Amino acid sequence: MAKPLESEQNRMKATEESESRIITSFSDLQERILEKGKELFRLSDSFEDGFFSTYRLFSKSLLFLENRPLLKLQAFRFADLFPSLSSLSSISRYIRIYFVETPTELPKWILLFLSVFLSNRLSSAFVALGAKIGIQLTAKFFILGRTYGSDRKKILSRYKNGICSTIDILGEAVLSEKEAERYTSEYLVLLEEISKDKELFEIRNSKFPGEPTGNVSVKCSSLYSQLDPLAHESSVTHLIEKLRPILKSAVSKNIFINLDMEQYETKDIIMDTAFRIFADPEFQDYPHFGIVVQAYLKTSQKDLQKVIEYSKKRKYPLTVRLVKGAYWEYEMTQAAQKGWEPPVFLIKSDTDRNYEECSVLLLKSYPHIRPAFGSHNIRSLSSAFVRAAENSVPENFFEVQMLYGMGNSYKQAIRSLGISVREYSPIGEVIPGMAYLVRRLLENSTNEGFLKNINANSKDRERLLYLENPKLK
Amino acid sequence: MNYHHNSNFQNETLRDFSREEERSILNKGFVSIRKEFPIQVYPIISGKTKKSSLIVPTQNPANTSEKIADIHYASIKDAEEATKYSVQFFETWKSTKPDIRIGFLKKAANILRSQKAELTALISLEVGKGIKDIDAEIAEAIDFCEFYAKEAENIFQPRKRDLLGEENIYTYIPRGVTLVVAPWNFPLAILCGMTVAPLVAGNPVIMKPAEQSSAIAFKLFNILIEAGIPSSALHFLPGKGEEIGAYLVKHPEIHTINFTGSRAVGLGMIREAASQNLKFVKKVVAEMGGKNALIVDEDADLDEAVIASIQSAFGFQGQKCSALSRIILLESKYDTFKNRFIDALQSLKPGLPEDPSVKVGPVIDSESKTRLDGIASQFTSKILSKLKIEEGQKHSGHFVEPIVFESEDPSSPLGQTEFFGPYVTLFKAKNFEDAMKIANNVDYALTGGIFSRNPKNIQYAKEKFEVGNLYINRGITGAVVDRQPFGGYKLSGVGAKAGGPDYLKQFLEPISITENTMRRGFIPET
Repeated sequence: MAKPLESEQNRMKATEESESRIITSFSDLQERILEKGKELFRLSDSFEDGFFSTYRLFSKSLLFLENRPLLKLQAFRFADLFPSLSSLSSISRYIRIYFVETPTELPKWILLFLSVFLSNRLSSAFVALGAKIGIQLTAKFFILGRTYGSDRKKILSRYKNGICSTIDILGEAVLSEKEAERYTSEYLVLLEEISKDKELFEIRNSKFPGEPTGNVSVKCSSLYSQLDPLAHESSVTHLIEKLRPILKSAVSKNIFINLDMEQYETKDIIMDTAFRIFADPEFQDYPHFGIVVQAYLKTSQKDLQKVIEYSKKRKYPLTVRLVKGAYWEYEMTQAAQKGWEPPVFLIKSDTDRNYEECSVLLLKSYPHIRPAFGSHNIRSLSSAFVRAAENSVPENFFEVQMLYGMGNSYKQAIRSLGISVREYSPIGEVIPGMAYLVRRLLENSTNEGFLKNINANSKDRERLLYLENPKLK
Repeated sequence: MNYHHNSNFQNETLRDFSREEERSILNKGFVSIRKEFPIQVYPIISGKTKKSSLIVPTQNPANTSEKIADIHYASIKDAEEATKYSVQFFETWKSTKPDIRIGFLKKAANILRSQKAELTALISLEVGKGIKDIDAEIAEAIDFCEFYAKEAENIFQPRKRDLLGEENIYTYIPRGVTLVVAPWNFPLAILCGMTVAPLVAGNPVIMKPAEQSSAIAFKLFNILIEAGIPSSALHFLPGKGEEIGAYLVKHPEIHTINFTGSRAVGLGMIREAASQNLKFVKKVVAEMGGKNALIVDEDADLDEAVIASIQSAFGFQGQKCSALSRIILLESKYDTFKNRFIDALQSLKPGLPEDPSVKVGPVIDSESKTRLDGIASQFTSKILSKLKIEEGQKHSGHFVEPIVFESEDPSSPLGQTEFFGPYVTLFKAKNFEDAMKIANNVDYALTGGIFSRNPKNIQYAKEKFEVGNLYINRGITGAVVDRQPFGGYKLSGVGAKAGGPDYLKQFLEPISITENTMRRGFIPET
């Protein structure tokens, strides 16, 4: 009788021990992530007044919209509308409709100022012009420039400062094959311009010896107007044919090509396209290809496993840019209207947690996948760094990607840790690029972490280093 | 909380075709339905299959060499017999507990749900509709069953207003035998909604499906019988509209005519019903047509407006009463819209609708094709762009080239006549008020829409746009049961909106019963 009891007690003891070990190692891990985050904050403070500080000014001015929900809504609606306004008089008319005739939390004196100025044709033109310049300036924080050729200086100066870039082309939705052809030729021109840039070549050679000639992010929906999940097979075949000349050109010029992700409904099309075309004899031994995994998707871990298995079979590993995803509102409305289970996590902290789990999957696949952590959330990045060290993944094997125009001091801080940083740098017309801008603005004001990271005082921002757990609440 | 704002009705979910599994089930549906071809479609009266002396085959409109069904047309004698049995069964059906009738509808919804793949394939092959449109249509048919079942649950709860010594009840009784004359363009959903509503209300129904879509109608009829609807309450009469349809419209035992189709036929039915000398007023519920417009404001999001216009104008080759046929553009947006719209049209792929990458299929039959080709040649000078369809394709099916016209005269047929095909005309307006005038200056009031980010214009449209269904910043087709009850006024129709709160009541007569419960000296306890 005594024996089984004893063994039971032993077993219980053993479980307790292993549980407590898990708890200590869990809290130990959290501790290390916290420390890494604090270190990044400290480092970023030392770069604060460094060479990029305009963003701080911008983000401070964006703070004006905090706690003014009606004004924020109108401001975003106005930014969304702006590309359609063709004259100063229509701009001023809409300023009146959106900000004077619609109640917002605008301070009375501004309102008074606006209504006085808008009442007269000449002064209203001034208001309109002011708004136009303001919006264009704002857009320029996030949009590199019109074309690579015209605005390459900005890219070069960032390379000089140790920050690489991946360039993407902004624009309107592609509604026809004619429009798609225009984008294809824009990508080809971009590749051509990058490869011919001697100055870039020199900087790259001296500062980034391992780096390919350039890095371009391709939006598949801009290459084929008839992408349709129902017509999966034909979408994949067409997309492959559309991508072929771009990939060919990139391979001949040694330029990295990343296939970006968009809406959930096109995810499988893009993944299958990538798997098929990257395996093409022409491209199978090319080292510079990448795709994206969006951690806000519930399917992301499963998809990531597929990518890992695929990449294992390649001569050179694929790069996976791990992001959280930028179409959350869109996916939620689509799902609601069609009566579907949303494909995305409903709670932000679930996405954050999944991002960390995906990071671990990526790092554990070393050396079969090159991870590119696309995030501005310092907690998410710290966790990736800590786990990279835990899995003995060398720091030059992965990189961090952040958006052009955002979080510059953090980019410098990460660079100083010896980790590569790449900027996602959009080029295109500023006005049609506005949709991108609206998404960036939304991100900057609703993303729990980022804007608050930047603007919060040091005590508040440390709070953002904890992965919230709603179950513990 | 205000329960009017949100019903607990759940719409049927659409299939997610980004899932490989859904696509493969769909393919199997095509394989299995083709094994049944040619489907034999008979008149069925009180459960008895009738012989016919006239058998008309139907073909796949996209490939006329493929035979879909043999339709055994019903005769006048069959129509007479169906009416007789309906009248005989009326009292029984009327006194059947509403719960039992409601149960049949719920069962029917489940059967429809289980046969989505085969139904999709059959609709695609018999009328040439695209797969996503069909998916929405099947969901709509299921919604009609579920929604009218739910509505019946509420309606058959008597409304009580009792006072001391007086009891008042307000309740409904079914009207009588209902004739359902349905169109081919929503061969499943419209026929289903038009049939199950009078049935659940307690009226026997005679189904007269469209000639062109009788095979789908026959499937639906069988599903309803399988769901438990007594064979004496529901009779199936495929056949010629001009013959048995016209005969039944005049029949003195038919109380209600539930019609969806052309304006000429609908108005004819109303005239006929009004001129009859009966002991009741024959009621005609008619959904007829539209000349639907979309206004694109100067501040519109063109990415969205162009895509929505393409879908609304060319979806199912424009063969929807809600289809877009007039685009009214503010001057400053005209050229940009025009170019993007034309290019978008040119990027659509014509072909067999069963091919998921095809966006432009055939029109329903050769009669339709001849009529549409006639319109195209009449307005050749106004053609802005035309999607070329290869000769081979045109010979193998009833293909019509989708056209974008341009006109300065909104009072011409391009701005006034319903074409029921893949034709859309662009008009220019000076300002938003002008655009609204053009939009409203037609005989119809069915669907309409605007693309605008100006809250004033949006408000103006809400107040002034003469349409039964107004859509703002989205396409103008694809109404969803309960969320967007569907139907028009002016010459677009008469009667309540399908999938809305008033629809069932059209097949019922409200009665009020008052009882004085006071007896000399005492009031019974309540």
